[in-house]
Parts: sequence; structure tokens; C-alpha cells
Amino acid sequence: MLENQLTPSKRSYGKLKLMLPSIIAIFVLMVGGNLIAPGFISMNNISSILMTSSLLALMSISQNTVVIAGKNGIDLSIGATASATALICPILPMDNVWQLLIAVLAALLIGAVFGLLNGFFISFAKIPALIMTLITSSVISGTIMVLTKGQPSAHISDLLKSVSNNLVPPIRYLTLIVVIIVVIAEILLTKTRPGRTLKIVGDNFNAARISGINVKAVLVLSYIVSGAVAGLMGLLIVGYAGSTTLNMATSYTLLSLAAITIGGTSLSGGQGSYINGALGAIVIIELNSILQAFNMDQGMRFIIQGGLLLVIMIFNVRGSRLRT
Amino acid sequence: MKPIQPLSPMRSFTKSTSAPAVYLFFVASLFVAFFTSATFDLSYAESFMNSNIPLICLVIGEGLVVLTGGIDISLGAILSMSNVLIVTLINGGMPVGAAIVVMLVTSIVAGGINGFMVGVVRINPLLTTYATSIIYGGIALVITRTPIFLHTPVLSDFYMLELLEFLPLNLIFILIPYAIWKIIKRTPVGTHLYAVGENESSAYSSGINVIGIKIFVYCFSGLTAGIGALAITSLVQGGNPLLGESMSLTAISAVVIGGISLAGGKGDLGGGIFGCMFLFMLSNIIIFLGVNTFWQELLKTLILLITVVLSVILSDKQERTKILKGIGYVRKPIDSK
Repeated sequence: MLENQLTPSKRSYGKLKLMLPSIIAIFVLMVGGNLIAPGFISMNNISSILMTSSLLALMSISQNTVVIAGKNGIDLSIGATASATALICPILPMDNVWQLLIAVLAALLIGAVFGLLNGFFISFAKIPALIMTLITSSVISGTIMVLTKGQPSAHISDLLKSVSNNLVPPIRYLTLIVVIIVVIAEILLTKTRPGRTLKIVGDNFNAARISGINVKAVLVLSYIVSGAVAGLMGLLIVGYAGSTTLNMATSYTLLSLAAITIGGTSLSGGQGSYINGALGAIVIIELNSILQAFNMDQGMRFIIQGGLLLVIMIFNVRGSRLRT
Repeated sequence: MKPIQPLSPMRSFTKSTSAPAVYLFFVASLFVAFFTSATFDLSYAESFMNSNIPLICLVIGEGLVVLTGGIDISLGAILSMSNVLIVTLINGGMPVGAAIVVMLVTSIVAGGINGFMVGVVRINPLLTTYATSIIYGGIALVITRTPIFLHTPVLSDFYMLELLEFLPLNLIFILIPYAIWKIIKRTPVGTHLYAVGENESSAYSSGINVIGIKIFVYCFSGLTAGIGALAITSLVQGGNPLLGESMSLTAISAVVIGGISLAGGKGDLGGGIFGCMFLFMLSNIIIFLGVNTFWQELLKTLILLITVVLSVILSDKQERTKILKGIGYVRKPIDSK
């Protein structure tokens, strides 16, 4: 880290180096997709790809935050958190902007509470993050069961649905919101004190503790942020889909892990970038969309998806040699 | 100076990492026996084991991988794949023995691919097995998209056989992998396993074949997933490509309750087996108590949360002494006569 700060030219090269594979992949997939299915780069298709990937990009922000914070950080409960807010928040009235704002705050708060549950046990009781967030996700789905009795609320306000309207094709409101969030998050991570603290804690937990950082609080905060962002995503996915179903966001949990991996975040913590994660999200959604265009059997699609993911990992996140 | 006395069996048990899981299991069993409507007898124990064996097989494999500091979330997918494979093979007219061999070899190869990616290519085990679990799940879906029925009852007949009218023969599905583990543990390879789990680079520096060990454990866990598939095929008399989807994560929970540290290098597979049986007992408690359907999952996961927190804290020696001191228990110094 120190070296990077001393030589700015090297730092920007390092950033580009991590960004380049995703950008190349995005363009290759676009051209390839258009060859396979003409009309793949039509405005309509691009805008729908961008919208779906912006949902995944939000999830990759939450996943990235805890992975950067280190200590084998991982959050498998974000899908469940998003599903929870997707079911609970539409109960609130959302007819004007102020009510919508209150709903957003409620979504953030619900997510933050689940994040606090994760963070508390992970940092104070030293439960491994993997197992703790796994249990939290079942706690959340259990809570949803109790609260909704398995019947999601039916009415979704038009204002919330309007997030999937076109702003300037191919950008929709949802995409714009997520782009703004990603950029703000990236600036917070790289240019401000809290963001750097997060990276330092992830880089070397003990060194950070000795230099006077309240490491446990940072760890808890990272899970709270992750939960809150996931909560927001739950509200947006309702606007995107126009209806609520049980467990509508669970599939995004592991996809977010794949997205940040393509974005070059290593699971050992201390490094990572939100913009790269968002680019990774676009790659994944684009890939999905192409495989769907093939009209391929679901099983075959899974095989290709998993295989490509493995290949990307070989290029992006290989560990260091044992012989140093 | 007196030579160091080995601990008595009782004392070495209470000090072991597996102890919390064993306690939990017995408390849960006593609860089922006395406070619920279940009839707690031999047939209960038999049906308990029958339905629990496939998951225990996975736990044995998962436990070994976790011991070396890795993790395997593709075991459930390997189980699904092997399950539909063997059913299709037998339905296609292959002799049962040959089908079993083909299936076991396939699952070992599937585990070996994991091991190769983790050991040689050096990708994080969680990411590797996530990607391969998509692939293996996809292969299962390619073999069959809908649940299929096994036409010949050979496997299930064997599964329900009992020795001397009370000893179920299907226990060998657990006993064989567990015996292999017990033998390995006494050989140098066993020590190497723990060393790799404790600290990979020091293990490498002291001349241990780290990559070989890793490939071996993933192959072994693939094999246990295959054995689990054999057991579950006999149990449900059919194949389903989505059968094992949630099983690998349950197996990981069982391993953690069993006192095997996710950081690697600590624990014993026996603890994992008891952790798995505890989880199953927990579901039984919730069912037999007659809890409202909507509350079942929440109640179960809250108990699970408490037990995981307890078992993680109790198996950590430092934390344990801290808590004991907190409640005023101070161990007397050992007499030095």
C-alpha cells in the first residue's frame, strides 16, 4: 500500500490493470452477443442489461465492503436482507416523494439492523463470517415467514415502479441512482479517512489495532453498511420488478461474490474497488443475457457460466506462490 | 522431574474440541425423549440414522477439508450429480456394482478438480467450489431436468438390511470413511493435514507436500459426497438434480458446531458427526413440539445461532478461561510434589 502511495503513476496503472479485463470482457461480449443474436446491442436490450446489472452492482457494493474489511469477511445474508425489505417496505405508503424517502430510510434501517446482528457476533464473539451470515440469512427468512405469514403484500405504488422508467435511453432512473451511489462510494473509499481506515484494517488487522484504530468498531460498521445497502437494493428490486415475491433477491448473494471477483477483489481483504465490482456485475449480467439468447438448456447454461467464472478467476485472483 | 502423564480418556475427552457437540447432542436427545411426543426407542434411533446418513457422509468430507484450512461448498452439487448419474446408469441397464464404481470415480474426479484448482492453480477455495458447484449442478440438470425414479429396489433393500435384527447395515456408509480418517490420523499424513491447516507456509517450509495434501483432501471429500449420494439414492429410491442444493451449507454448520475451526488446524471429524446429528435432532425437537409452522424456521435458527456461538466460544481455550474467570471459577494450581 505504501509503495502505491509513493508512486502515483504506478498506482493509476494498477487500477487500470484491474479494470481492463472487465472492460474488455464487456465489449467482447457485446460484439459476440450481436453476432450470435442480432439486435443484442439495441437500445432496449442494453438498457435492460444496464438496469439488471445496476441491481447487482448495488449488491456488489455491500459484498465488497465486508470483503475489503478483511478477517475472512464475507456476507451471505445480503440476499435475504434485500428480500426482507422487498417484502416489508411496500407496506408503507409511497405516494409522494417524502413518503418514498421515509420508505428508503426504513429500508436502510432494516438492513442496518441485520448488519449489526452480523457485525456484533463476528467481531465480538469471533464467529467466522461465513457461518454467521449464513445463520443470519436463515434468521431473516424465518422472520419474514413470521411477519408476512408467507403472503407478500400486493400493492406497489406507481412512484416506486417509476424507477424503471427511461431517463435518456439507454439510461433508466434506477441505473442513474446506482451509478451515483457507486461513484460516491468509490470516492469515500479512496479519498476519505473512513475509506482508508477500512482498507488498512482489511490489509493488516493487528497493525491497524496497534496503531490505534478501533478495529472491532470498523468491522461492525462494515457489516452495518453492507446490510443497509442490501436493504436499499431490496426496495429498488421491488420497483424494478413491479411486484414482490418471497426470496426475490436471494440469487444475488453469490452472484455479487462473482461480480467482485471479476472486479479483482481478493477475498483476503484490504483491497478492492466499487467501480470494478460494478463493471464485474455488468459482465455477469451480459453473459447471462447472451446465454439466454442461445435458448440453451438451463443445465448447459450453468456449466458454461461456471466454467467461464473459473477461467476469469484463473486470470484475476490467483494466490501467491508458497515458495517466496 | 516427573514424566508427563498422558491424560485419562475421560479427561482427554472433556478437553477435546469435539466435547461441546457431544454434550449438545445428548441434551437435545434427552429433550426429545422427555419433553416431546416422540416415542424414543430403537426404531426411532434407526429411522433417525437412516435419514441422517447422507448428510453425515458430507460432514466427514467437509470436516477434513475444513481441517486443512479450506472449504468446499460444491459437495451438495457433487452429491446431486452422482445421485442422478447412478440412477440413470442403473435404469439404463448397467449392473449395479459397475454403476456404483463409475459413480464413485466420477465424484472423486469432481473433488479432484476442486483440489487441482485450489492446490495447483491457487484460487481461493470458497470461490473455486462456488464456480464448480454451478458446473456440477449444471451437469446434474443436463443428465435429467426432472426427478426420476429408480426401477430396481436393490440399493434400498441393502439400505434397510439389519444385522442380528437390530444393527442397521447402512452404518457402514459412515463407518468406512470414518475408519479411513482414523487410520490416516495415525499416519504422518494425518499430522501433515493439521500442519497445513495451522499454517500453510510453515508447513511448506518444513518440507510437507502442501499441494498433494490439498488435492488429497478434496478428492476424499468428493468420495464422501459420492458415498452420500449412494446412501441418499437408496433412501429416496430415485434421483433429483436439486437434491443436494442446500446440503453443503448445512454440512458446514455441522462442522462448525462440531468444534472444527474454519481457520483450519483444529478439531476432529467425530465432533462434526455429532454436530450433524445435533442439527437433525434440533429439527426433530421443533417438529415434535408442534410449533406453529410460521415460527418453526425462526425458532430453529435462533437455537442454532445460540449453539454456534456457544460451541465456537467453548472450543476456543482463551475465551473459555476468560468466561470461567468471569463467573468466578479459578482453577487450582497443580500440586508439585
